[in-house]
Amino acid sequence: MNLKKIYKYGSPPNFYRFAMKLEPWCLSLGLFLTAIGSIGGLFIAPKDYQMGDAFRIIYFHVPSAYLSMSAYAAMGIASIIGIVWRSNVAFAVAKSIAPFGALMTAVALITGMLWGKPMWGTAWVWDARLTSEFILLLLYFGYIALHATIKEQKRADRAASLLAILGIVNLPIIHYSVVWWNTLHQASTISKLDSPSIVGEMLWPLLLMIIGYMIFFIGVICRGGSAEVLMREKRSNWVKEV
Amino acid sequence: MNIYFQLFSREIRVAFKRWTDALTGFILFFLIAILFPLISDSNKEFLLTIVGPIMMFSAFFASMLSMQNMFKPDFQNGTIEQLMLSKGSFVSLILTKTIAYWLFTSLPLILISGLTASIYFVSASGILIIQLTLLLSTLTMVHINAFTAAITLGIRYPGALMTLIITPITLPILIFGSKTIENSILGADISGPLYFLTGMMMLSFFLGPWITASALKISMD
Amino acid sequence: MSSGRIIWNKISINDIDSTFQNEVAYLGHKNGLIGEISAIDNLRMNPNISDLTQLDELISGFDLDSCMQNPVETLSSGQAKKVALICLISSGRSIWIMDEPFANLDDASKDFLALKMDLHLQRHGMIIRTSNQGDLSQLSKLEIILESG
Repeated sequence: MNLKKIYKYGSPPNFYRFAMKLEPWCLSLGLFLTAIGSIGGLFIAPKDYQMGDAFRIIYFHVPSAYLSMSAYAAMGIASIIGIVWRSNVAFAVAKSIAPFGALMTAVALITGMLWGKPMWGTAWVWDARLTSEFILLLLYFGYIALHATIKEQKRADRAASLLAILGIVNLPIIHYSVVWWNTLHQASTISKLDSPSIVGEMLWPLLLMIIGYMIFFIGVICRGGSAEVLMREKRSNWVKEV
Repeated sequence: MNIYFQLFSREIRVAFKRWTDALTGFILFFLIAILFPLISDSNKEFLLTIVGPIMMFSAFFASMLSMQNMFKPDFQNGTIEQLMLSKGSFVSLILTKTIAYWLFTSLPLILISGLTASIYFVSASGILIIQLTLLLSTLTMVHINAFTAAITLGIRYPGALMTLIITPITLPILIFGSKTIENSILGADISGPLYFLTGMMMLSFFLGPWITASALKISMD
Repeated sequence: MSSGRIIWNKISINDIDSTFQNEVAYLGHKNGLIGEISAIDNLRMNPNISDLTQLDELISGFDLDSCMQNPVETLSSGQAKKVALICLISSGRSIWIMDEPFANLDDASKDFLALKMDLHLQRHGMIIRTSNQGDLSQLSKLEIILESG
């Protein structure tokens, strides 16, 4: 049955082998696409008539924001798999995603602030997206802190996973509430922020960057996940053979 | 006698013995609410603007103070394990415990909020809305606090970690709660945020005990 | 030993349908009593106690009559343990899991406890206990001796 096959794939040594094979491809492809996207975005795409060169930050801001949320979703799914199927590999993957996700969130926030300066005149504004992103950073920190504070690994895994699952349920609520609160305060900013119609010449580097980041992310999951699995199973036989 | 009623009366009895726990939160709530007008601009318009956020924030903070003691004493004396072995559903027992805890720690806040809100020049009807908002919000927050206390059980100095965990989850409640109060003072429609608060409260009653029970089981191993 | 399964009534105890937990009364290192309230209140308000008829007999059997009104935190560890034992015995459960039940008890209480344990076994109950002292009742059926090192 297919389920049995997936179960077998989910065992630590198999995951390790699979991840180690996949990783270099993802990392290099991701870097490659990101490099092309960056060049395209920084140099080739034309200047925005409203913002000039400053808008180019979008090429780093959007992918990292997008990735910060996908990473949390991935972390949540891995946590669910870990708890429901008691999979150590899933827990290891979830744990390794967290720092990267937090980093992406921080990058999104910082690039957002850098973008904000020319756009709104101030670095920070309590607009819906920045606020939600900041809260996302707190959610990541909570997860990482829980893992760091609880000494026994199995307990830390399950506790942090529970937190991640709660976070996933909460993310839409948090986002909705912040957006709602924001529409009452700063309708004007949102219409400025939205870039609904973006010209093709500006679009392709953006798409490339997003895809590049995603693929790189998969590579990071492979690397981080396999490192984590290795650490956890260090006493078992198959690790000694590696 | 019904198991849940037995547990409930025991919790109330014990809460009376541990009255200093509830007192800390109560005093903090009261103090924050009183100090603000004293140390800031005390003109009516300003105070009416900030009473919403202040009420919500002080309720939040007060509940955070006492939440460490929700499960810790029972963890130390082995009562939680006994509850797990009980013939009743563990989840429902946790719900019972949570409600008893709420009665003892949050209800006094709601009652005194009438007094503190009047310092901010809030009208009588406004006070009722504030109390209603606090009622809904604290009923929701108590479940979040229970979960946070449960999941950090056994950690030696969990204070900062608890704050980190609890803030993002509680934020929507704080936002909508303060908006409800603000709207009522301005005379605007409060049904929107109020419905949201009610929805959150009901959701937390369904999910809260279950997720707290799961957290307790994880912490107990 | 960290692998294997435990099966009760043909269902593994980790299964969600298991009724195992409803059959267990447990007394471990922590005594499961609330320190701030009196011993008698602990017994009366304990959600797990189903059999209140034996209470008086058990209280006098363990020689606790004089201290039942006192808060549990003021009792000596031996007395508190005896109250916890009363909780366990009155729980009406068929499986007793006890960690060093005879430790900290005076001789009279030890005898009384052994008597109660024998009664339980005669009524087709089961007891799983650890002991450091090698005092085993005549009715024990299975001994597992673990040595450290």
